Amino acid sequence: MIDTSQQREKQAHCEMLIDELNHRVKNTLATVQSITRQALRGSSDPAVIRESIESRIFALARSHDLLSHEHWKGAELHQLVAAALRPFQALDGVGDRFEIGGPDVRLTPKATLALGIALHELATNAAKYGALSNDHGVTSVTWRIAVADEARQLTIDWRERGGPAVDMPAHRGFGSQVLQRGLSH
Amino acid sequence: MIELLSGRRVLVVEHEMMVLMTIEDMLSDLGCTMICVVGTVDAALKLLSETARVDMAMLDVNLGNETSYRVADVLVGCGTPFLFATGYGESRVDARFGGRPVIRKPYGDADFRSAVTRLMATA
Repeated sequence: MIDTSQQREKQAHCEMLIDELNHRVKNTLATVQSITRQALRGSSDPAVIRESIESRIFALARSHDLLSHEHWKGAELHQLVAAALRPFQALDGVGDRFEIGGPDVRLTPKATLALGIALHELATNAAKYGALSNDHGVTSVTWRIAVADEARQLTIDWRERGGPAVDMPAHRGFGSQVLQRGLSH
Repeated sequence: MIELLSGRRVLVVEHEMMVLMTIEDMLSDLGCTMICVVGTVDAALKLLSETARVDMAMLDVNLGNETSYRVADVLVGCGTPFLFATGYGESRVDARFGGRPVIRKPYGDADFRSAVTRLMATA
């Protein structure tokens, strides 16, 4: 009797894992679909499209790596920022032009994925047009926690200084959509 | 040409930001300019109680730590047409919604358009 009920429990656990896996895989595929659609809307140059698709898929993969290290329980914001900025720090002469700091913050898997891609978009933008596009600009990423009405609120500041003068963009690209959506969602 | 969803208000319940961007993209291709987006059951119920009219809804079944079935129950009560979007097979949608349309992730423009066309034709 005991064996049978243990067997059943094991089977139920297995089924739950498979359901969860299906859900994650399908959402990941849908995410890649979204990345592709946006890249094709943004440019007609195959090299630009390829670069934009690949860099976002890699950004997603880095967040996945972080999450699987922790069995998909979540990630530390420190680690996420480090992972998201690593490829940019590897660029020539950019390495030490980041200032990063804030308290320990534990993120849910969903927040990790959304924030990972948002940080990637900000860094890409900085490398193309902002503080990382010249040889001396500095990018600072800092965060703090405030408690209001018993809810904890995380504020992240992304600041660039010493970069070229920038104009307000004429159209809302993928990056700003990710930021507005991801963070309000 | 009057597009399928011009002048229609569509509620989207979806918790994955990137998936949501694709849905918004596809809905605007169908002429939709009024898209209400929420990521949780509570936010959806609040929106439905405060909004005078929703013409159609799309519900992601699995919202992470809850399902959208309570939203579906309210929509059934209002007679608002809706469809489920899911990474699961159709058999996984709760039996009480048997016969309701289900679109499987990931879906393309053609699947999306035909699902919405059928849904609005029955409305």
